[in-house]
Amino acid sequence: METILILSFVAMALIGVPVAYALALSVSFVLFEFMDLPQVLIVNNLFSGIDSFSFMAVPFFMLAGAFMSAGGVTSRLVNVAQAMVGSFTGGLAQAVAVAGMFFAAISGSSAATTAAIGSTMVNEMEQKGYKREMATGIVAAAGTVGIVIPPSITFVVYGVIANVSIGDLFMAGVLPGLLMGGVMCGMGWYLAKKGQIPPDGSFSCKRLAITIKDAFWALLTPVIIIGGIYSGMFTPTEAAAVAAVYGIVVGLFIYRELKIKDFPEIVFKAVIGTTLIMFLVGAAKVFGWLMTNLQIPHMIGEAVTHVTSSGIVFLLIMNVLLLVLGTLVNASAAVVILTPIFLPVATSMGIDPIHFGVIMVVNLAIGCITPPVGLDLFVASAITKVPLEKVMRSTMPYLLSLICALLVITMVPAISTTLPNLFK
Amino acid sequence: MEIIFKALRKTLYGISVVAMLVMLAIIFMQVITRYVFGFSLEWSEELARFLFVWVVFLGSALIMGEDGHLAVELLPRLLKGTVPGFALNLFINVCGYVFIFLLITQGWKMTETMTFQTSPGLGISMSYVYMIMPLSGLLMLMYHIKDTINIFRLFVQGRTDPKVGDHQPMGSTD
Repeated sequence: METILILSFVAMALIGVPVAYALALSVSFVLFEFMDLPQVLIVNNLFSGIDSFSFMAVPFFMLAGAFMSAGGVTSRLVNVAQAMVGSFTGGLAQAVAVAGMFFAAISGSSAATTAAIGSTMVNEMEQKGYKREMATGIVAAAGTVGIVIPPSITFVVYGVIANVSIGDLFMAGVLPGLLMGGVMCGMGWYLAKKGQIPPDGSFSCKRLAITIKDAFWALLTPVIIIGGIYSGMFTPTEAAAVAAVYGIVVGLFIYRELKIKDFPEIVFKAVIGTTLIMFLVGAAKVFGWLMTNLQIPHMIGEAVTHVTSSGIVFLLIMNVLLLVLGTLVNASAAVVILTPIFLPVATSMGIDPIHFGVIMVVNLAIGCITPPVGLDLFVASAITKVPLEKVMRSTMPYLLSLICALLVITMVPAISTTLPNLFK
Repeated sequence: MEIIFKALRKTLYGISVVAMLVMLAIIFMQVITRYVFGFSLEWSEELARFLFVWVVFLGSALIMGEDGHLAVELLPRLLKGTVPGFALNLFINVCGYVFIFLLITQGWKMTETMTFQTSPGLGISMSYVYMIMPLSGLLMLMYHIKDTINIFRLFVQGRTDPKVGDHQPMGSTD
């Protein structure tokens, strides 16, 4: 019965049945065939899986990011990034990575980060001697930090499912996100050195100061979100709502690039994005409910401890599993399906739930640029019109450097746990 | 038929966009009232939460007219335009009907049985809240029938239309 539940879900999902349907239908089948429980429990769990105050942060963070990028925030963040690192060898590639980190701090998604940075930077990189496919590769990779650096929709979902403080998770994502950005800068430098791309101008403190001043209101966003949550002023959901309203105010009245007539389309995109994630989250709750009922997490836990009792080995196995799964389903879906199964195993091995969450999210972020179906690859390819295969090839070095960062993050829990512990 | 779907999309679009903005306004006001006036309304959070659930369920119908629900599109894409591909699409489509059937019948059962339960904040019957499930099921059914017709039409015409079975491989959200 347990095997049938899992296999029927995997089979349906792999052949192309929408993942949410596959989750609910495999549960329905097992209930119908083997158990004396009414089908109404499916819709009951579907409803209660969505009906959560914390999950409302998902649409609000989406709105915040969308209002900001429509309001002229992106180009200002890009300017700061260029003023910071643009003058070094491989400066533009590094600026893409830095701009990705900036945008990640106001947006909770990888695809949004890739889209925002890609549409502003690729043409300029091409003018300054980068091959278009090379530029597209770094843009796709730079987006990955979108769900690692706070705010992050995937951390919100993990926090609710794992019952871990979302504020702590946000804090825990900061250093791993910086590390990921750092290794991408390093790779950009190395590739430019090898490819003989001349530095772009010289560093100027004045230029940096001017760009920072211009981007001041944008740079304030992460301070409001993280500061608000950590000082206890807002819940994460409220912080997301405040950030969205702040985005509207900045876009409408300060930068004046946001137009009221664009509102419906911006909000509608957030509706669709929210539904994509939340419908799946609800369906995964249905699946998780039956798994718990059948004690599947317990069984898997015993099987895992039978194979290894070492926390590190377990985490490395998790890395592989998540990287593979992260290429198939989106990050939030993977979190919802896997957390109830593997978090109990992780905690029984003495792994901090926050560290485990960071590992999951970083893995799934890297899954966004892992061939053949990494989402960021598609987004970047769609924006720059570079064929997918070429994007994949030019992303490869960044993918490798990110996997190195992932191994470090996996092995050294302190990178994740230091900041949340510091602020407790 | 196109006219019906256009009107339907427009209606759902309008409702969900307004509901989303109201949600945002409610939660933002909650912060303001707490800090400026020192109180928070009991019903506001609950209303926002119910709107959220409604948006997600309405969106689940709306999404079928856009890129569709998240699915692993590898196999359908590989088999596109072939007879096994047609059979696969049909099977996927049938799975959709079973899911929608569950949502309508079981969702209605919940709506019917929960009449006595009232929500703690707003004091309304939970039936009104649960009603979104069978409603969303019916709307999804409309879009789904359209998909079925499309699958057959494409197979009969023997050509491949990039719009069918060619959704994004994953959500455009993470």
